[in-house]
Amino acid sequence: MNNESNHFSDKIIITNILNGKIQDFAIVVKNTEKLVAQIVRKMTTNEDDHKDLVQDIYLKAYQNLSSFQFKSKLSTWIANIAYNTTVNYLQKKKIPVTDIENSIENKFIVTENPEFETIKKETMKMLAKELDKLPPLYKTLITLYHLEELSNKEIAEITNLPEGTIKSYLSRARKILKDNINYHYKNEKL
Amino acid sequence: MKSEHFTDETLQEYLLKEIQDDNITSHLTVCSSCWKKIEEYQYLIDNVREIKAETFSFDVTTVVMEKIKNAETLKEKNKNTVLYMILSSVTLIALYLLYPYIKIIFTQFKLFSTMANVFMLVSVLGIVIFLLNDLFRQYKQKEILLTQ
Ligand SMILES: [Zn+2]
Repeated sequence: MNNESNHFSDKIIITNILNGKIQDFAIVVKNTEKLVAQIVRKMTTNEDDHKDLVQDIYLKAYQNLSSFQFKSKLSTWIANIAYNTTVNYLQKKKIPVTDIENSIENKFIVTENPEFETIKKETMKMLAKELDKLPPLYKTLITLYHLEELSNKEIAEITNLPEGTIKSYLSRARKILKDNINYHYKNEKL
Repeated sequence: MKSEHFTDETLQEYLLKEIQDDNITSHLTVCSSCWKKIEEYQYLIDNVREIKAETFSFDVTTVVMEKIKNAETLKEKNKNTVLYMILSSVTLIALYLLYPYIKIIFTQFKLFSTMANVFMLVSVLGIVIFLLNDLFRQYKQKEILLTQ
């Protein structure tokens, strides 16, 4: 139901934009910028390039709007453009998208006996740091699945990867995160 | 009795309810090591969900709309340039083809007095300027209507 009404309002907005009401594209941007931010910021930490990337992504979306087929949600379609654009950017910079090597070796900043109330905060901080250490694609998949609560099917549409591959990447990423958290706590107790 | 342990992948799938398997459920009641893993994954997932969503340091809408408007202006300019080029080539070709006839018309002017020629020239120029001005005003009005 919700999905259908989304499709409906997507259709109205797109028709308006294609009829020359350019400023309505701002609505599309507003509705999708959170998801695009999750992808771009997880895929690349280089803040200087974020603005160019975001402009590129939305310009592509705008210029190809007439080819949007309503086969998926508009947000999924734009997320797919965001993902492809960012992957191209990483490839140009020769940054590996799935290279796991650096994430497994443990480079912890050991916090000294955190107070009880701050343990939760520390855990979140540590986890955010551990997540950051994962390869771009793993980070993005974890974010899309657990934070954006997208299904494997939707993630497959965004990343053009088979669902099986996504599942196994996610599983590997969770295992690395779990092991690194364990390692961190063990070190802390010593 | 202790059967084989389950893989991390299977335990995750079980935890995320992607699979349902009574064998795992019963195994977990007797196997502390698999149970510990389930708890650790649960802890991880609970915390990952609470990580703050990423945002940009700039206003996305402003930045994007600026880019799109620039692209549109450029497209419009290019379209106009092409239009002007086609128009001027057509005019040049027409002038070239009509040259013999134009020459005949101009020889006719020699028959009139200078005053009559100046009068004709001024009238024609006046009409042309009036028409061009009108055309321009209509174009501006349409532009305003379109961009509203
Ligand atoms: Zn077991």
